[in-house]
Amino acid sequence: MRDEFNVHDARPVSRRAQRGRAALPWIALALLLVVPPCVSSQSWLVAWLAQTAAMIVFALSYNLLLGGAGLLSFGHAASSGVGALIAAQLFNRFGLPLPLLPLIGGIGGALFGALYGLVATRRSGTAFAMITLGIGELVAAAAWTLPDWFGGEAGVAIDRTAGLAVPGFTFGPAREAYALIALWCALAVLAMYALSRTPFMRLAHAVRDNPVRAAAIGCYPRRVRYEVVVWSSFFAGIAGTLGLINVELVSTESVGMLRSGSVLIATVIGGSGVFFGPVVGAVVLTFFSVVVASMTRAWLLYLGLFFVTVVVSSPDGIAGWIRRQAARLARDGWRVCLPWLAYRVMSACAWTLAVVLGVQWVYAQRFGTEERVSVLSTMNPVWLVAAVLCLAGIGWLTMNIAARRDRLLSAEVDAGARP
Amino acid sequence: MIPAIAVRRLDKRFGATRVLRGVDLLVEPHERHALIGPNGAGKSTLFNLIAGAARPSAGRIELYGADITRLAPAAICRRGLARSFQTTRCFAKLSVFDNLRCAAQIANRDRMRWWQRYTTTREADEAAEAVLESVALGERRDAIAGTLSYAEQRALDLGLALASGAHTLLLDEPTAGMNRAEAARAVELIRSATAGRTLLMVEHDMDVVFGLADRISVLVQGEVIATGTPDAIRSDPAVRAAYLGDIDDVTHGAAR
Repeated sequence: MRDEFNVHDARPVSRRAQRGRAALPWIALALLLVVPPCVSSQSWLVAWLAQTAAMIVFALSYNLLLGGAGLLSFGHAASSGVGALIAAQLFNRFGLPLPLLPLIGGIGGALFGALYGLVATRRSGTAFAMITLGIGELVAAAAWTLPDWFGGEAGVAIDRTAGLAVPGFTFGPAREAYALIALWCALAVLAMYALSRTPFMRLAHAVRDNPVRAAAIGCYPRRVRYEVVVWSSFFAGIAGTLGLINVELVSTESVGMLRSGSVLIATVIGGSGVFFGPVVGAVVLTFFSVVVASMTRAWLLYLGLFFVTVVVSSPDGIAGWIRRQAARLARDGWRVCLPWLAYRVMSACAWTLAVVLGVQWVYAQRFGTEERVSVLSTMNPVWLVAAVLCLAGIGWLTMNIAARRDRLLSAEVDAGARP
Repeated sequence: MIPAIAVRRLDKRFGATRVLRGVDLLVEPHERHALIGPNGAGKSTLFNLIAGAARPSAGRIELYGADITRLAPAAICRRGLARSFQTTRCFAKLSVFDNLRCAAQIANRDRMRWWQRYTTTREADEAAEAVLESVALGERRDAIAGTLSYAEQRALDLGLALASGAHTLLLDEPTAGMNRAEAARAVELIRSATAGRTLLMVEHDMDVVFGLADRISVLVQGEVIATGTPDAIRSDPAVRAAYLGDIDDVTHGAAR
């Protein structure tokens, strides 16, 4: 979808501006990873950022499969969990230096990928998804039945400070561990970006677009898929180990279906068609699972609603949406786009408020003071219903106005009124 | 001389239906060979068998004397036989140039170390660039393949086959769905692109067939009923009977 927009985008853009735009997501990512811990030292902030960094690597590794080779996997957590598990066991046995641990985890993940890829890459499409679903369940079941390896209920714990000493760092404090995680996150993102630009990944795209044609130019689709699975599992192993360093624990949940689902959700929310899409998705997901979750127990409901909204209104994710809006801005200019954008934002805000009010009221009724935001429990239901209806009305109205502007604009473009 | 493609007593059954009945076909090196026949004669099936997309029930296919009957499509392509498709297929979300680079990169694999699959290679890019010019898509270099016009996609399809470095080409109805001007351009393209290569093509447009082919084989109901030069085919009574006189109109048209 995005590609058609680029074709119509006739306005010449200078090379420098193009390069500047390409650098924007990198700068944003660097700012996100570096600035907050320098400004504030609150523990939840560092914990959130560490989780985000691990999730970024995880989602990007998932997108090697989904966006890169068109392989939908339901068992990606197995790769990251097994990688992290191998890293944890080796760390506890041999006391390896902590900074090298993600590499060990990555290799462990890649080995696991090399194993399951043998079976899974026989097929693509739905069959691949089903095989990975089975393998994910298999590993999750193994985690419960093999307590010696997976640590059973308690999981396998490590002590960050126990590794081979690195002068100047003990990695005991969360901030030092975070510095290590952020560094590895940056390294992995760079590595995956480099990988995504290689001729090999181009071939993977070709296999994704049309495996039959790819075979007819002499490429073995299965081998390409296999290689992508191994790479993806390698980076998933790194991501799993970053999580291990953060919480000093690899548990049975880290190989489970829930985690496989959450990385899929993060990637789809962000958008799999753009390299930085999964990064956006990872940030959004951890925002919900850490920040929103610390305020209300309805966070999973909000995440689900947000996910459905994104999939329905912009199937190519947030990154795809931004890309389309940027193309539109370049075509029509600020003057046309700004009012439209304002209506859209207003509508989104109104809808969000309406939903949050309603949901929080229900939760407050149900859980009373257990819910952190419990002011609503004392509120008069009549007023509440009125407020929700009012907000929903505003949301509906502004949404319609924006949609009408959309139609008018596209009619004008079709009629050739706008050059 | 060893034939470029030798099909020997090839049989293909789909259940009880016998689509190919002991097909024999010899394509000499460096000739342009056309395969014609009414709808349902088994031309596309024969193509799929030669290119490895399906397995024959019996018989043997050779490429320059080597048995390729049971090889995978990719292995057959790596031996120098490339095909185009009847329904246009290309890598829809890649740019035109990237499409060709994929093919050139695989064709170039013998001259590369294993890690060079991960680095850009000048040789492959140059080969892709050359093919890009030869199929006249130079101006659409950065366009996304899915947005090309139909004729351009056919040209890209041919380009993919060329870029894979093949010495033998199978083209499945290369001018299907094109208007007169586009078809004429496509014929010129095929003529220049196949110089020094072997070509086997399926085609319905008799102007194209009689204008381009050195030899023609006629496939009717799963059997090759005649093989010969265009003139010989034109005057062959069995062919005339199979085509119920259609071929007369065509050849008269071609003579005009």
